[in-house]
Amino acid sequence: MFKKAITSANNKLLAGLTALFSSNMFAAWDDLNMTEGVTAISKEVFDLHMLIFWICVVIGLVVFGIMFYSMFAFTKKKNPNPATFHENTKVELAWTVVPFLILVFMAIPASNTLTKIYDDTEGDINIQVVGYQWKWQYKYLEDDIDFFSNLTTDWDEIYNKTPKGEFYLEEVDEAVVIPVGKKIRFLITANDVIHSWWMPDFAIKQDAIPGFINTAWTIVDEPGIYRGKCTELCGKNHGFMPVVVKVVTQDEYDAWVQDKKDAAFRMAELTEKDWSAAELTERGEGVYLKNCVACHQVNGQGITGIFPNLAGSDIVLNNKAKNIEILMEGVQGAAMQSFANQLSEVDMASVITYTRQAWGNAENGDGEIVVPKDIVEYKKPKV
Amino acid sequence: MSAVIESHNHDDHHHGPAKGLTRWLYTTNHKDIGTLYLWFSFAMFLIGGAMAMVIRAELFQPGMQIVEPEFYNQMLTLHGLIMVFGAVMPAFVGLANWLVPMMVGAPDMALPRMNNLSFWILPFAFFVLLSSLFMEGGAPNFGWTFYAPLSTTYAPPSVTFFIFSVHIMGASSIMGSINVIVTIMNMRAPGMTLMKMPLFVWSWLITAYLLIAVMPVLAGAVTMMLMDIHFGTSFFNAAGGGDPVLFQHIFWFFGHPEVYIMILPAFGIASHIIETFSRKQLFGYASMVWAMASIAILSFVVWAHHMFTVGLPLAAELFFMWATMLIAVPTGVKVFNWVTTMFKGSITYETPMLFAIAFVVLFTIGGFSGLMLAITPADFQYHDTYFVVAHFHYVLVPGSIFSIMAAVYYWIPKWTGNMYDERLGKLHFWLSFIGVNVTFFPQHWIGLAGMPRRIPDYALQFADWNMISSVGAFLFGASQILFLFIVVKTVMGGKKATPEVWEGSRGLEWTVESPAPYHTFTTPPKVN
Amino acid sequence: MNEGSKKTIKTLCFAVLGMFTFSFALVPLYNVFCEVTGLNGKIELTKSHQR
Repeated sequence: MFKKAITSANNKLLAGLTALFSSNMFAAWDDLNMTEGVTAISKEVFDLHMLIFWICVVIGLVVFGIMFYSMFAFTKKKNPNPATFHENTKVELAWTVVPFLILVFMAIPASNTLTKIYDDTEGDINIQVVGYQWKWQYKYLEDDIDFFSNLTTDWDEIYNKTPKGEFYLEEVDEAVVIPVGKKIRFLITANDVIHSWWMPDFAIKQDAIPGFINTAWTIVDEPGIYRGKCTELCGKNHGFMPVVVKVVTQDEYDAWVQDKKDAAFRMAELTEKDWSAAELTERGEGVYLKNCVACHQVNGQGITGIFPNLAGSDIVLNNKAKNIEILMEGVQGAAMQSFANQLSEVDMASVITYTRQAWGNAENGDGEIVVPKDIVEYKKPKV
Repeated sequence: MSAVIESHNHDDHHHGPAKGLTRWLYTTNHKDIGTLYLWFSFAMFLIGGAMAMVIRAELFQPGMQIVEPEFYNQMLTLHGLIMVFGAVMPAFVGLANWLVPMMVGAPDMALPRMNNLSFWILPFAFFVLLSSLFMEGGAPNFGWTFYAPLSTTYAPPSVTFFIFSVHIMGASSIMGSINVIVTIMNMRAPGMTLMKMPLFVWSWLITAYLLIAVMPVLAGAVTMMLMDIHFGTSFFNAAGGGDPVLFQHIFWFFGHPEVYIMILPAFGIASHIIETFSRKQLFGYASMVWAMASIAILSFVVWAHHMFTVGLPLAAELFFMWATMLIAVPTGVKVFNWVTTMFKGSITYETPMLFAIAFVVLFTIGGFSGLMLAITPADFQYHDTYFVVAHFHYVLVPGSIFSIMAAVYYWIPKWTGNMYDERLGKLHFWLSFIGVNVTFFPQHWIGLAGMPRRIPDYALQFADWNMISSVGAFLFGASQILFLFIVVKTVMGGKKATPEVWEGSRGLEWTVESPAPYHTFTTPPKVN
Repeated sequence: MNEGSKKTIKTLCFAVLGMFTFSFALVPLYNVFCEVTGLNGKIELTKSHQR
């Protein structure tokens, strides 16, 4: 009862202070401050941030005010005979107790907001978010939709060969799509090292930890495209795996879900078809550039001591079975992850075929290609 | 090196310093060892600073211009490791070596030969660490906080040398701390009770206890890493039944007290300098002692505020939020006491005082951003962004580093017998002050606006302030060359210093000649 | 070196060894703490959402 009264008074005070000091006063300074965001929680977080900020400003002005005054009024010239006091129990007690009370005043709304954020009941839509080196995977658990989200900014832009686009480093091939007004629950984990999924406009940040699942939830009020980042050092391309969430109306969302399901169906058809070496190689090059080039490099040479070369590699040249196994299982104790659930059978077969054909490998090795049916076969349980 | 005068007033079993270069290899004299630590830390500061210049040069504009992302990660990792373990900590140990025995009226540290060992293993450790830049796979690239599994399964081969190097640095700190504690607890001059000790001595007593408590925990963490990497254990590997988050708990149990280890001696230094140049006894001596002790004790129960986003239960997050906020109370008390010391004092603004005042103001700003970070729901927006980078650079650079510079200017006349050039000192101060603020203040804004940390390239909206920050960094970096010049110039000569050096100075070190004789207080002084 | 100093050194060395052992003890202690306090949120969640 008492707690509720304080909380309610606090919230009113918070609202009042916010109205007084809201970001609108400093709209021109928008790129200098945290975003207010587009959810009820993000706005609460913003208000909390501003409240603490202003309290610090006031304390700073008082303390530094006294200090600067002393620096001017009590120079040796102006005050050749310094005072001799060096303790005062009453004053010292006061400036221990008063700050403590200010902290309590801050802790109440902070604890309140945190408790709301931790309210972890079921969502209308549950999306598993998996961090990989260096991309995100999203799985919509109810609708069985599964896709990867890669940075689409060209490396030519990054290396200053072409001009940088508007959404430089903030654009992906497949954004997360969610409807407005529904409770979305994110189940966040990782496939390799620790990553972190941050959506500033939703005030969500949770670490993506291999072997564990962290949860976060949001209800977004306004449609739009929102951009976030990976916020835990995860290796070479930590700065190159952004997050993009598209918030749409319920109708648009339903249409998108249907689209995804249709695409999955079409992919199944592709797996059954007969592919030529040329078709596989062409498709495979695209897959390679998206998924493999970061480590194994465009020329297939890898980086000595860290990432093995594929051009001229014995396994790629002469050992089709082992080649498939490495892509499907990953390599224990090394950075090479399993790509089995990252690539469709078609893409898996294409990329392996590409590496077996490119860089002179076709001429120097057994030249065997891999077709999607080989991957389907591999996936069957072994007797 | 520093000029040393043979003292003839004490019984003459003591000889002057040995001749030649081997003097420095074999010395067991606390003044020599202090000098060695200080020069070593200065060299490391310049090396770590050079890495910062590479980082800020790459961040000068969006796009990759100077280095590859792989190498950039090595730079940021080594920059952190070198500054923390090579610059700040050895500098404070160097100051402890020079000052603690004199301040308590002791002839030397309790264990002079172990003192020598503590120093000399450090250049070895850093040689190993820096040589990893030339190894296959490159230097450590996982951040100075080396979270698993990035630092275990996914680490370059040099990680093993990194672990070896950290063990040696830890051993150095532990041995140094044993020396400090034994000296302070057992070798004070008669009459010097604990509550009569100078505050720098208090700050180091408390710091040394923190080091004893947490450096072994760091050793445990890197040993577990070593076992995971080479002996097939799974301390931090989920697939094997372990937990990457366990690494973070163990690391930060060390890591949080570690940052207080890096600031408590600074608090001690500030108290000495502000008292002297205000010509007024420090306000609230007893509270200053209790504040430092409270900060040290609290530092053990706040570690998880570095882990608010790992998925801790709500109860844990609330506890760590409240405990972290609480540290603001004793810290605030110290700031109020420094200000009150100045109030109605009789102040002059020599270079040490300029650095000390800047320390108080800018460290407090760092403290405010720390308080903001303590607020867990807000931290979800700050964590791992440039807001955090701004916070810790404010408390470490205009915090710890400025206090070390202040200490050098303040005590160098005692060490060398020569006054530094006051005009150059002030110039160094102003260039550093401007440089440090232009570099780090905008980083608060770009962090709030959404730029993560530890990235070599960024989206276009962060470009302007990154450029400004880089310019500030280049200015600050260049100013330290001036500092080097000033120090060398002072060692080589200058206006002769009196024993008291400064008009308002208090303490036993100001009762001996400048430069201090090679052996001081071979007979303990009487303290009232 | 006086007796007091020797005693201090001994105590500090034990403290160092003790803290090193403590860090390894944290491994099982971590699990015990989670069970005793019931603060096991993450693992419970994983169980209830495994499909």
